[in-house]
Amino acid sequence: MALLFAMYFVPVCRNPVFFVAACYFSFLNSVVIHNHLHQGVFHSRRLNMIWRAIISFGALYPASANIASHNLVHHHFDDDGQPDWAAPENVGFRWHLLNLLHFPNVAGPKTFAGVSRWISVQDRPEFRRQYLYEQIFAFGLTGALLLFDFWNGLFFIVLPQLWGARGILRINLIQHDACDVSTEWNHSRNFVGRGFNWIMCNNGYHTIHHNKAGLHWSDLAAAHVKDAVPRMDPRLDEPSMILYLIRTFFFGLKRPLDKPVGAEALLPPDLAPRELRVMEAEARAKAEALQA
Amino acid sequence: MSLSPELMGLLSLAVLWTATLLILAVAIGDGRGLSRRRAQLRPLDPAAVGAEPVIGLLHGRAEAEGLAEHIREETGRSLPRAKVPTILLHPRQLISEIHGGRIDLGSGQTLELAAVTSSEAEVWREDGAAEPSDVDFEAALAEAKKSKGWRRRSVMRLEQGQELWILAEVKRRPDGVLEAKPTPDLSDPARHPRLLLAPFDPRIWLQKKTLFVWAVSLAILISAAAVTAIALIPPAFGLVSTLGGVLGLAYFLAVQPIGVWLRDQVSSPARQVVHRSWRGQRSGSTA
Repeated sequence: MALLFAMYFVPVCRNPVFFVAACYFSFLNSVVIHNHLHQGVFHSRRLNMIWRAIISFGALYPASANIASHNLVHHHFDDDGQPDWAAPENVGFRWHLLNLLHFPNVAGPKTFAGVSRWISVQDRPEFRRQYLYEQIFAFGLTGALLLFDFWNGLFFIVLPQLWGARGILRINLIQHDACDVSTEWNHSRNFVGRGFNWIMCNNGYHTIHHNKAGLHWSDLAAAHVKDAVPRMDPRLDEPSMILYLIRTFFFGLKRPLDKPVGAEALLPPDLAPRELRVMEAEARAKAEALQA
Repeated sequence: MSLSPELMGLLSLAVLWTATLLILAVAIGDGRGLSRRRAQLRPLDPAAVGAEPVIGLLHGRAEAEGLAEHIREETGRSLPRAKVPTILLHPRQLISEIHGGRIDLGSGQTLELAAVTSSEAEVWREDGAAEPSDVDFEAALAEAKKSKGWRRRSVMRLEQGQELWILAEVKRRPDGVLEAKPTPDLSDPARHPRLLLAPFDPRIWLQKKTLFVWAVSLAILISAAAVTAIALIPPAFGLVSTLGGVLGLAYFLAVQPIGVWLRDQVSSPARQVVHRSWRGQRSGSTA
């Protein structure tokens, strides 16, 4: 937020360094939304709710949307029989770079429509109120800044916000494309570089995060090595996201199609059945929504 | 180096036009797909079909019940804040099933369909019949209020004597009956289209949808050009230009859901994911 406001109010801060940093931190803001909605940062419920509103501004979407879109639907790759709103199959260009560019144009509206439907069938006024507060804060503050100075608001507030929001949607394509979401251990691609995971709060360890969503992000690296690596296709461990992006989207002119095959059948699953995990997630979401 | 308003303006226009062109590329691809499919629907003269398989459209009437059905498995959930009691129906699964049977093509010609799995066939469903009528609304609503929701299986059966259009790869058997072959290669729909059964003329549907895609695509292109032109009216970043910027932002936020909506509108009637609602009345009787 400091970077956004600095660029908005102080002309000397309107330079590429601030802009790139603001885009990166907006994306990191979305990562924090993701982590916070799995496990609240604070012990205090009120502080957690205030924090949700603040980080909603950073990426221009209500953080609580993650409960339906991410925790309930994406984690199980299923919307009550229909595909995940952010499934890689949403895009189908032959040139894969276009899929990366286009993905948020499809996954974004699908996610918002899905979240709206989910909220409409919930009898949880507290959650709706919290969702409304987040929207008022995120869209209201952004709108006020646009009203006060439209062009600087657009260039130095909205563009970085959109980069973050659209970036976190693109991660869904990057981490699940050409994976087999019907399996328990080959549904996700992992980026295991230490530097990457340091700046991304261990979000590179995606297989274990999907299977054990309640694990604190600081425990993911060890759990990945212990539980995921012996069971998954080793090709789903990528040492570097940057190299993967370059190889797949810039040098790879066609979309990779071969599905991974892992050793999961040879080892005990060490995992509750998916149906049970879905029920647990729904119970958590219910508790979370009631708490809001 | 500072980021001048001109440079950032160009960046914003690049973002807007990248999204626009990608959405248009998908729409154009869909439009071309519909046109290709329309071209496959060449009417076949049943009398002219020989022992060599040919692809085309046949028209006839189902000789018996149970030829095929389209199944929509739905979960219904109540809308707790609706003024009128309402159930939102979410399609869990859409299944086309051809059980096999005969179709009278007229002039003494008959087509025999073998049983075909759902992935190999499409049974089209008409848009109407929005509200279920085979169950009591209040009973459904009571279930829909529970956490599991109300499970419903809505089946559209092709009735005996029903008028049908059939896209298939057909050949004549030695006994003189025409036979629809199962699709030999599902990965190549251009050469081997999926077996299609429709209770309405699919050519008209495809033509309407093709025109619709082109019309909406043109509207998207004109809108993007218009907001760009307004934003570039001198003086740059003046009042009119700013109005163009506001319209550009609104357009950018709107064009993405419009692109998704357009895709949904032109997806096959056998696979269209539609969230319908079933409204009761305050007294409890169905609407």
